[in-house]
Amino acid sequence: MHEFSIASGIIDTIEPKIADPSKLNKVRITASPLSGISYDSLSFCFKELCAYKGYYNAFLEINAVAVSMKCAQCDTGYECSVLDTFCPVCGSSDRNVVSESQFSIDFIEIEE
Amino acid sequence: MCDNCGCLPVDWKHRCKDKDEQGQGHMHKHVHGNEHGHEHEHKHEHEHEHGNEHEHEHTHEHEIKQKIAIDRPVLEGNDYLAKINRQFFNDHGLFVINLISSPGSGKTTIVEYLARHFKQQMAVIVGDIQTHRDAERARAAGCKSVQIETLGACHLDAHSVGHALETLDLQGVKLLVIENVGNLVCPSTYDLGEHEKIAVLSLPEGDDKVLKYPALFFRASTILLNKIDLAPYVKFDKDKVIDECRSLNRSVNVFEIAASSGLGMENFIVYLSGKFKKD
Repeated sequence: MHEFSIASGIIDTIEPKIADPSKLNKVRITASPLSGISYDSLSFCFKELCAYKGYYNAFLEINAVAVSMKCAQCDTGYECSVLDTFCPVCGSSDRNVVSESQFSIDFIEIEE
Repeated sequence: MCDNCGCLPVDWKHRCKDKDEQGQGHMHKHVHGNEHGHEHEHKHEHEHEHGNEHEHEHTHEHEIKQKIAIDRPVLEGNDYLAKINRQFFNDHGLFVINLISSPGSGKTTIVEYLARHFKQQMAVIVGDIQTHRDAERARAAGCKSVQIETLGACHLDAHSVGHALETLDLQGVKLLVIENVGNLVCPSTYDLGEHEKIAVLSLPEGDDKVLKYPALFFRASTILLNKIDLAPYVKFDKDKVIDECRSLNRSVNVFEIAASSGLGMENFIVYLSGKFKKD
């Protein structure tokens, strides 16, 4: 539900970098399952907002990264793209979340 | 359309109690107008269905000339205001918790219990879509309170909390409870400047919620398992829930409580009291 607010925040951040709204092409962000967003919903909201604001050629590219875990029982490191998967070696849910929650605007691409 | 969840009227402003109808001092940026069309021109040829698909696997013919690094957090604006709130809390010697749960889990009953104990040493900022009912309940229980009516928004943000602080008498207050809008998803994303996020999960909601809504249980440092007195009547695997909470945050504190009867609340009160110096 809050993806419209997040899309709005992304545009607020990049807006000062853009001289001609019609030239904005790609906005790349990085997010993880810990970001607490629906990727589809955010892309949809971003597109709607861009159309309203004149960024007619802009689209959002989401670099969806996994969360790095380390099993607290057998020390195995593993990646989770969904958080209900546990240690692939011993099956334990006892683990440490190694990676921080990643949620950043990486870059934009402007076309000629 | 409002900039939170797209469901609000054009002239929406959040209302803090004691503010005028124009939301004095509120600086919301709203992007309004849900009648906009999509007749925009494209230099390249491809079908835009305006659905959720956004892979853009087609080849764009645009020549990309410039790649500009941004490298900034998506929630930078909120985080900036949250930092200001946190500084305010620290400057005023306040310990601040952000209570998050689904609607009906018992947040306000917990607040009432705490208010009867801490009285005027405690204040509450309550977020709801509409009505001042929860703020009135907290006040009747003995603490200071202010209501934020979001009028549709699904969460509190640092901005709305900052304005609510302007209307709250914090004289003598040591513990500030922010009771978020009932929602297990959106509120977890927003830092309000609090010192702890506390998740409330009540037994009738079921024991499958933790991994369904992982962002909240990852960020919450304390879990209150509320309505524990209903254990004989509802199917709820408490050990599984605690294991799943610890799979997201190994150091999480868990309190088993029944706020309506006070069962287990003394332990939670001892925990909170340890966080601030009582007079």
